[in-house]
Amino acid sequence: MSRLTTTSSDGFFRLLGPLCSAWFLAAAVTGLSAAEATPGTQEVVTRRLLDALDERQMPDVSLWVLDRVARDAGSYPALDKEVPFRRATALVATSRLETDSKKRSKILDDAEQEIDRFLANGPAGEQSIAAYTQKGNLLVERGRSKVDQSKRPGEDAKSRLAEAVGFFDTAIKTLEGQAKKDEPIDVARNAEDAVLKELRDVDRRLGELQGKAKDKAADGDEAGKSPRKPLKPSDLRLIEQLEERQERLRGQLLQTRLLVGGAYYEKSRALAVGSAEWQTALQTSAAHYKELYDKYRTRGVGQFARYYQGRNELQLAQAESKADEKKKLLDKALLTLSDVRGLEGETGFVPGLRAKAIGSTLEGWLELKKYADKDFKEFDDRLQKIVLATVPADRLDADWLAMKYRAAEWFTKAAEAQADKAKGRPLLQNAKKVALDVAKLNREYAKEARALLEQLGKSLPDDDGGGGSFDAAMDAVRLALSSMMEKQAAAKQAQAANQAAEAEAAAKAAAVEREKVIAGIRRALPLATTDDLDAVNQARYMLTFMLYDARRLHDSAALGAFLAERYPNAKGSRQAAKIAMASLQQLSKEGVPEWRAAAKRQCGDLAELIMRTWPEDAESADAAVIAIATATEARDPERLIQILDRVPPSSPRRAEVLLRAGSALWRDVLEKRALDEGVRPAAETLAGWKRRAAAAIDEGLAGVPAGAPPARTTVAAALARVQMAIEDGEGDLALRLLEQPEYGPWTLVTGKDPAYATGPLAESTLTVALRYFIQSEQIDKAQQAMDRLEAVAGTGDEASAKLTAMYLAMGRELQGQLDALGAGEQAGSAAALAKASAILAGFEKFLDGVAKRDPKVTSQMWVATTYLSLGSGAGTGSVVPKAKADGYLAKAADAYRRLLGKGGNEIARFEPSIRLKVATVCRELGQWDEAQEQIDWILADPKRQNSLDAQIQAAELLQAAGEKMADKAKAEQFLKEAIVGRRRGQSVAWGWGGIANKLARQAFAGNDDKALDARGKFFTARLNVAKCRLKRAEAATQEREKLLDMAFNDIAITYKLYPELGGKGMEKQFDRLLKEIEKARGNPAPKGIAGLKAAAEAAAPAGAGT
Amino acid sequence: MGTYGTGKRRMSSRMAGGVRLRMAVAWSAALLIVGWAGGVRGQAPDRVLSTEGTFTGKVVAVGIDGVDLEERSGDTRKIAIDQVREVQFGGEPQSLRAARSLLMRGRAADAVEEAAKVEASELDGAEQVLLDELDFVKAAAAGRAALAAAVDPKDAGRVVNEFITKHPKSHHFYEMQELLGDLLARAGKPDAAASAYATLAKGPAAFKVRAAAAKAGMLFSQQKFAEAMAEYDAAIAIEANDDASTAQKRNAELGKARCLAQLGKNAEAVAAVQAIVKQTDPEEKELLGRAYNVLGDAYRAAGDKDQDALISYLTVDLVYNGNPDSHAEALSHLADLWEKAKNPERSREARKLLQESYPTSPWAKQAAGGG
Repeated sequence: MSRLTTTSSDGFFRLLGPLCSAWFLAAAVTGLSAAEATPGTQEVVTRRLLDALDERQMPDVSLWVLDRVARDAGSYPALDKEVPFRRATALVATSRLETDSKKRSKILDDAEQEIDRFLANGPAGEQSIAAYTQKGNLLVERGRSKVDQSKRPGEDAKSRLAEAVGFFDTAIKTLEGQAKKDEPIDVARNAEDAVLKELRDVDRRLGELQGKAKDKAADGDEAGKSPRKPLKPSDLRLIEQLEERQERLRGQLLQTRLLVGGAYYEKSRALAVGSAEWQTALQTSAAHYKELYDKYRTRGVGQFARYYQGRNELQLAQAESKADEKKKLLDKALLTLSDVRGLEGETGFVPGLRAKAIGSTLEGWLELKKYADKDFKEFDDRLQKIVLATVPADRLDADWLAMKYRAAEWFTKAAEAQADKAKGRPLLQNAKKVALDVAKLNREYAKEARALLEQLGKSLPDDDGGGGSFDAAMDAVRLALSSMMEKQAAAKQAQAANQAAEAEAAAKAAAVEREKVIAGIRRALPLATTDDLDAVNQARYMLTFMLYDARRLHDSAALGAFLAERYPNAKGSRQAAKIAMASLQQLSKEGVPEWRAAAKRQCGDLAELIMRTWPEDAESADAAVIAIATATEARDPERLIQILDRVPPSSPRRAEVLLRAGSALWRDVLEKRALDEGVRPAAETLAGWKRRAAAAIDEGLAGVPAGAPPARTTVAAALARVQMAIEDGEGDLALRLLEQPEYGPWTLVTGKDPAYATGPLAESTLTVALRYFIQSEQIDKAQQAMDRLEAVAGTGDEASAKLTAMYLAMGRELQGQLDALGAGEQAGSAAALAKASAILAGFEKFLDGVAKRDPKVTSQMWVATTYLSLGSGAGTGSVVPKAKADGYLAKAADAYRRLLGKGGNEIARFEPSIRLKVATVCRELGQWDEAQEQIDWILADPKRQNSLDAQIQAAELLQAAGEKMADKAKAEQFLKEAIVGRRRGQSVAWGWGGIANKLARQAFAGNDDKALDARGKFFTARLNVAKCRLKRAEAATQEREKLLDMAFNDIAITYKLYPELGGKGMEKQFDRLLKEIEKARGNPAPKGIAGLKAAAEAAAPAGAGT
Repeated sequence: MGTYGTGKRRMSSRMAGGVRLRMAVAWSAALLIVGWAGGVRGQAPDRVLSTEGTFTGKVVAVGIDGVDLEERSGDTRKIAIDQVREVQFGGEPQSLRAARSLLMRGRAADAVEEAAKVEASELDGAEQVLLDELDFVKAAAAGRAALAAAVDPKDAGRVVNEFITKHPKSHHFYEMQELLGDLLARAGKPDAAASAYATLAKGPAAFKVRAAAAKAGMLFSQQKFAEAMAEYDAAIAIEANDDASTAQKRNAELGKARCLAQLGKNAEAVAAVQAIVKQTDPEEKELLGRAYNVLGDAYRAAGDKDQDALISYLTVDLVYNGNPDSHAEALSHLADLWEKAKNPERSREARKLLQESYPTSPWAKQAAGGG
């Protein structure tokens, strides 16, 4: 009975946890199923392993092993049959580590099904007992969990309690015996009958064997002559074994009956107090306990049953509204409890059980106001001595604390009832002592005890965390936590009632309590031992949340990430990781500007860690979205692909993740394609990324639920896929996607939802659609797209620039499309040329038509700009012949010049941008002087001198002129001006050096898009400074070395100041240029950036970085 | 039973108190005749633990081919060397017995310490066979400890060689030849090792199997997996079906399975180990410990069966953890695999157990190096 000593209401139903490992011993004794065949080595080893895994609490591995056993059907003849039951046991154990209530519920459902599957096979003997008992325990645990859930704020308490009742009813059915006394039990359908059946069988067998012994003895006696024949040693051994088993089964029977009483009691907790069902449940529970007590009053189980009976009776009495009836019931309960509170002894279960009984008794006496009765003597010296005794803190469990607190109440009331205050004083002293015992522990009833002490004029200072143990310190934390929650709830209530001042005061008080929780956990953690690891990790999780709640985001992120990385399987680690990710997200948006980039990076890393660690969970899906955002920002296609590969098929946000990643990957393809040849990824690589992007978007779009309102992510991804389809000549697919009824970009941009009719997504949609409709010669729709583009650009001052930018964007896409046709395996093929020719013909036809029929400045601008794009593409050479390209440029120049010649107010508004374009055309055609004139016109106006685009164009023009000019002196002059700028009349050009200087501050001021854009331009300017310097050196007849040194230093200084060199792509360009410079300096083995890096490391002071 | 070996050495009474000499039985021409009765080891009977069971009596002679035991009935039982598991002498000091037991359980480093506890006074007047036994335990423990700790085997090799030279008729002769071969192989002297294994192969059939398997093991450690497998095949093919040979052949089969795994024939390796497991008594803990490690290796090498590998190594860790070398090996794999399975807690736990329980093991060193 020793196990019963630990029976508290919380641990009650876990006592009979896994029984499976024991049953085979019993089966061997009784010749039950396991003895059917000698198991093979594999089976013996597997069984040993499973038992060891149970012992080591590794239920997840048990499940793997059991899966394997189930897979290799036939290899484990005996173990096969146990699989469902063992699975159920492992699942229950696994569920204890699950914090997500839905998942936990699902696991427990599975466990229940497994037990039912096992029971359906009609197990006998110990297996049947264990299965029914385990199922009963499981159901009671689930019911209790529902009761706890019903108390949480925001829960539908009524539904949860109804669910709880359902679980308890099934539990009772599973545990409670149905067989009447002497009624044979053919097949047991519940735990109690299963035990009884076994017990009767053992009784019978023992009876037979012992009868045999008696018969033999009798034979010997009667004969008087022949010597008594003793039983065979094998029979004696069997008797011994059966007796042991009989004893064990008797214990099991009592435990089962105790469980039945407990299940009824638990059911009462899910019912409305005082209701008929509640009364029935409590009375039935009490009746079961009474029966146990009546039968086994001298045994521990009887005493426990007696206490529970008394407790139930007390609760029934407390709910009674009629005074007379209440008194009667209270007297009855107190009489029942008197049997237990009168127990003598200080060992075993007695002190704890007695404390329970005294606590309940005091509750009853308080209810009856016995303290006011002068003749009342039952709370005698013996009982007072017990409640006043100093008990070591580790023994003071909830029952002891309840007893002491009730005693404090009793003494206080008794003192108050004394007419003579002097007589009441010792009582008050007693009250203070026991209240202090409770309050200082900071656990159950501590709050009430503190209030009582205050009432008695003795307040306690805030507890510093209890004793020196981790558990004690964490008890203090829990107290502060519940206080914090109370105050938070009060703040919410006040807020809802529009009581601002009260809400603020409560919120402040909650913050104070939160700080106590944080300080308390920090005090507790160093007190922990290695045995406390689970609890320590839960405390860490709590601390992660508290720190987040207190906006100490760095600390919260660090602790949450630590848990995720070091203890991913601890309870709460998954949530801690989520909190850490949320902290880092906030830091990356609102933190100290210098730290935002690091926070963003860490957030991405943590997101990937979460994806790796909990791939199937909802947290992983959220993390994937964040990881994609980080990889997108880092312009890292390989990382994007890795993330894509890790998204499990069952991820709840898989479609969204695929769409986001696919779009980002496509954007990378477009950007990287535009890089210089030396730093551009290989065509196969780009094609591979494109294929991956297309596949991801296709799958993502297929996963978009029908009828769902369109999400921007979906529309953007569909648009990206349209671009790919146009490029691949998949016109049907492009059209199908553009006009898809729910998320089709063309459908939406021409629809009624204003969210899709304007803004960047609408602009992109229209440029893509325009391109598609022109190519497919759907002229009406192309015109419609043009009109809409103009409408989107608006009518304000910036409208023209915006429209031009959109036309340029379309031109770039067209260029990209032609570039793609001219690259890779298909480059130069007849098919590629034919395709390009068809595209160009379509455009020419449309542009010429527009040029003729639409005199609007904007339309003419578009025509000119598009011709410029078609003629100036660097990579289109293989599909757009030079002569044709020059023809396009000439058409562009004509169109621009016509516009300039037209004059008027509208043209005046466009003039700078037209001249800029003319300069570009002239540059492409090598007409340097005219190009220069146009630029000078633009830069002569002091206001326009600050236009970065114009300055960049001017520098590019000077550089291009210097590079292309045959006249060495002129070339030197242009290149010099490209670096340092130039003044001509009113015109001021900054040159690359000036541009870099102007951009330096803005480029490193933050990480927003503007800063990132400035950063890109800054590094481009620095790169071009060095390029121009190298060109000058190559052409120089004197000072060549000096110029090369300067070129080298241009890069070396840039590296020294900004070692990241603007990202991987830009670094490659610097590296290539530096190697060229080194070669020009006569270095046969140029090291490039690696050389600068090595030099920097060598120059670092000793010990740096350690 | 025929005669054992070729040498003959008669023991005179050297016991304190000069107990009378009893003549060994006449048949034992080739045995080292052991004096007995009275004195230090007159108190308790000797015990010979063999594959046929445990026999008690007086060890009257030991030789490279077996042990003679005079039983209480006065009959002499001849126990062939390939059946002998252990000889316990009734009067041997407790530390000597404990050291030998540790040695047999694979705890060589502990055996070295335990053997050092034998006091000189405990051996006062002890007969030669006990002194020889102490020499054996010390030398074998030193040799095995060097192998287990992956340290320079030179000193240990010297000690083992000295023992063989000094005790050419010891019943530990073959065992020490094998150990010498292992040490020479570790020292990078394959020819000398092969010579030692060749001496081992001169013993009974089971030893021939053992010699071939030992040679295969050397080739395996040289990463010559195909050659090692051929050698294991040769061991398996030796015509001998006695119990001792069968047991040795199972070891060779296990070695062959290891080779299969290393040669990428993982499915065959798994099938081979599973067949061995099926044929093995669940109580053959040492063999099963090694078998489950090989099974784990084969699953691990397959690349996509880490979960099966974990189960195999856990079987060693939780069920067959008696042999330090096997256990350390399993823990090392578990540390890696748990890390890979995103369970760093269990990985750390396995690594910690490995470092704390087997600090000198090469597996522990490898795990420490790896992380």
